Parts: sequence; C-alpha cells; structure tokens
Amino acid sequence: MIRARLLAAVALAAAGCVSIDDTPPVWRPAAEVAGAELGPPPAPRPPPAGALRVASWNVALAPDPEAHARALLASPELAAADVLIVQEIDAYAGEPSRAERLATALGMTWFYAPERDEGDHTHGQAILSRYPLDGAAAMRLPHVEQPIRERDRVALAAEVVLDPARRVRVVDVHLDTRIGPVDRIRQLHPAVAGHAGPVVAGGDLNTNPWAWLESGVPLTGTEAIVGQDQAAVLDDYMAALGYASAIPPDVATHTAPALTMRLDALYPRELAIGAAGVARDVAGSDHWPVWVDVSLE
Amino acid sequence: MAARAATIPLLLLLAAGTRAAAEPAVRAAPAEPEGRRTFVYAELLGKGGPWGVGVERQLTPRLALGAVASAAVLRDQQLYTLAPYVHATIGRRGGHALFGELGAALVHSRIPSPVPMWAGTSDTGAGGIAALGWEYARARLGVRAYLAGALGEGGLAPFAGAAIGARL
Repeated sequence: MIRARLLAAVALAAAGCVSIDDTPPVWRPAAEVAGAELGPPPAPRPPPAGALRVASWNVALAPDPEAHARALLASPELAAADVLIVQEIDAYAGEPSRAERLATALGMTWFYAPERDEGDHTHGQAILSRYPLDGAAAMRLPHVEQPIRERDRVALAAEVVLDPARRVRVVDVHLDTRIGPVDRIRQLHPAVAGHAGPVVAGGDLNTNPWAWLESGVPLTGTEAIVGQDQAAVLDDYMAALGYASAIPPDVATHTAPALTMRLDALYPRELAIGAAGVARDVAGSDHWPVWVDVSLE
Repeated sequence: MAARAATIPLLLLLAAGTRAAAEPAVRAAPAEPEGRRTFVYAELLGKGGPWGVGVERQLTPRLALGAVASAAVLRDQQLYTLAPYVHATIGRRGGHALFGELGAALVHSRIPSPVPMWAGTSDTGAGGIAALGWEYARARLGVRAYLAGALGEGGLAPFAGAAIGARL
C-alpha cells in the first residue's frame, strides 16, 4: 500500500501533475452524508440583541474537547460566540464524537460531517450553535491531486434559526494547504457561490502567502518581492461575490512565530460587520480562533 | 534572524571587493579558461522565480555583472521575473569557489480568474536580493548552489537556488 502510494506520488511528480477535479459538486443533506451527525436542538433562548457573534477555529484534532471548551469560555470574545465553526475535528467509532463533546460543553447543538475516513475514526468539520440549525448539508469540494499528501476537502452549511422570521446561513470550509490562488478559488467557489440571503462563510482557508511549484516548494523569494498574499487575493475574489472580509489579510491567525499568515477568515454577506478580531488568548491549537459580530438590525 | 542572514552576503561581497582592489592581479587569477568571460546558465528556484535563464559577464577576476529572467505559469498563475545582479567571487580553491551576489528583482504576477464572477488580479513588485553560494567549475561547465534572502513588498524571506551553465 505504502509502495503503491509512493509510486503514485513519484509518477505524479514526474508528470508534473497537480490537477483538479472539475466535476460540479453539490450540497447533500446531512441525512445523506455518511458519518454525519446532527445534534438535538439546543435549549430555547431569545434571539441575540443587535448582533450575532460567529467564530471559527481550527481545533487541531481537539484531543480533549472539554479543555478546548474551557479555553473558549475563558476568552471574553469567544465565550460570547453564538455560532462556532470548527475544522480538523475527529470522530471515533463507539464513542461520542469530539464535535458532540465540544458542543455539549459549550451548551450548543452541532452538525458534524467527515472530510475523510482515517480507519478507526473520521476527520472532519462541524458547525456548533446556541440556536437551532436547519437545512444542514455538506459538499465534497473539488479534489486537487497533488504529489504529496493530497486530501479530500468538504464544506458544511446550515441555517441558524434565530427566530421564525430570521435565519443566517453559515458555511464552514477547510481548503488545501499547498495550492496556489487559482486552485484555491476553484476549490472554494462551489461552497460560497449561489447562496441566497444573509450568509457568514469562513473557516480555515489555508491562505498561505506563496505560489507553489508542484504543490511541494513555496516560492518564498518571489512572494517577498511581489507581495501578492493569497489572503488578499481571496478577499478580492470574495468581494466580487458580495462578501466582506472581517479579518485583514496581514493579520496572523497561525501561531508560527516567524510567519504572518492569515489562514483563517470570516466573510459576512448582506450583514454589516460590527466588530471582529483574532482571539490570541485561546490556546490549544496551531491556529487562533477568529470571530465577527454581524448586525441583525 | 532572516535579516541577519541577508546581511552576511553583503559583508562578504564588500570584503571581496576590498580584497580584489588590494591584491596583485596575479594572485587573484581566475579559474575560468582564458577569454571565456560570459557565463550562460539555467536556474531552478532562484533569483528568477521557479526557473529561469541567465547570462553573466565577467568584468574583473572577481566581479561579474549578470541578469536572470523567467516566465512561468504555475497552475494558471503567470509569473514574470527579471533580476539584475553583481556577482563576486569571495574565495577559490581548485574548481570550487565561494561567491556572493547582490541585486534587484522585478516580479509581475497575474492571477487569472477561474470563475465568471471575478476578473482576476495582477500585481508588480520590486525588491532586493542577497545571496551566498558555492560554485564548481570544470572546463566550460559551471554548477552553482546558493542560499539567499529577498526583501520586497511582501517582506523578507529566505530561499535557495541552483544553476547549471557554460562559459562561452
């Protein structure tokens, strides 16, 4: 198996084959997604006064979800989050998923869908909410073939039901790491295009600054000269679709001390941004959570 | 840390220039064959982006002027670079040499849109490059490898490059 994968990687590298699946992806309801979970509705609560706080965090597998919940609740910004979208969270067979444990500790409901099957567990994303979720669905994003460690990627979407008359659609994405801006937009586009009404899209977009040679070598020198960060490119693309960027492109959301990389982002559409930020007081991952207040007035 | 790394080639380059002025010409005799003052080469991951072609003209036994250019399309992203530079031989033993380089770089990047709702974007930037490397020369053939730092509109970053070429 390892030898076959190695041979495939060598063959791809020799052929210069970074390619992307052009099959149009579709949203599939949670009930049709293998391994997906939808939690029970949360305890009823009044709609938020004025603004809805949406946060996103790559939880780096969340080996101890209760510890992650304590870290979130200790942060003034994150403790007030109404919706939390997470990436890189695992679900092991025969035990409550880590999304369920994190949601329960935060007093939220959840929607989990796997990104890929890892044998004894699945690895995926989740939308957690203090308000009921409706229309939960998942989409398998265009697959980018790469010589090294290629991955399946998914997007999750659900409507957060604030009251019978008000809903906000939330989209949670996790994109490939070692791809350039054109493939990143190809992979993201099906998840963020075509929504109606107010939306907050975001997640770990992995917008590192560089162009990549065959998904293996970052052109660090070229990027240093031209300064065309992928985060800024994606903000420009999202603006064309009507989304505003809540987190500036030159703000670090990854904890690597020598690099300033905004890997994580939140993009509201048809919703005014009140406040937004990066919660650097929350430890437990190689990413910091990002958050945004969107006006409901 | 990266800033310090980038200043080392500069200091070595200045030292090489000073030594070249102070030493008799006979002691700084070049290893290159007499009369072959032009070095034409292909480069990978260097001053010219993902790959490039360069030419270098030797002015003195230790100093040369050169430029490398490239045009590449990486997964539809178009990258064009031009990097003129000064090359200085810091020390030489047999076919091996230690060298430093200082230069400028101009990069134009065009990102076409893969979707109908967006027009794509492009950007042009300029900056400086400093490098410290090793060269092996035998007959007309020359092979180089180097570590470098680039400073420009995207900040400061390290990178590495390699080149192979011939003296004409």
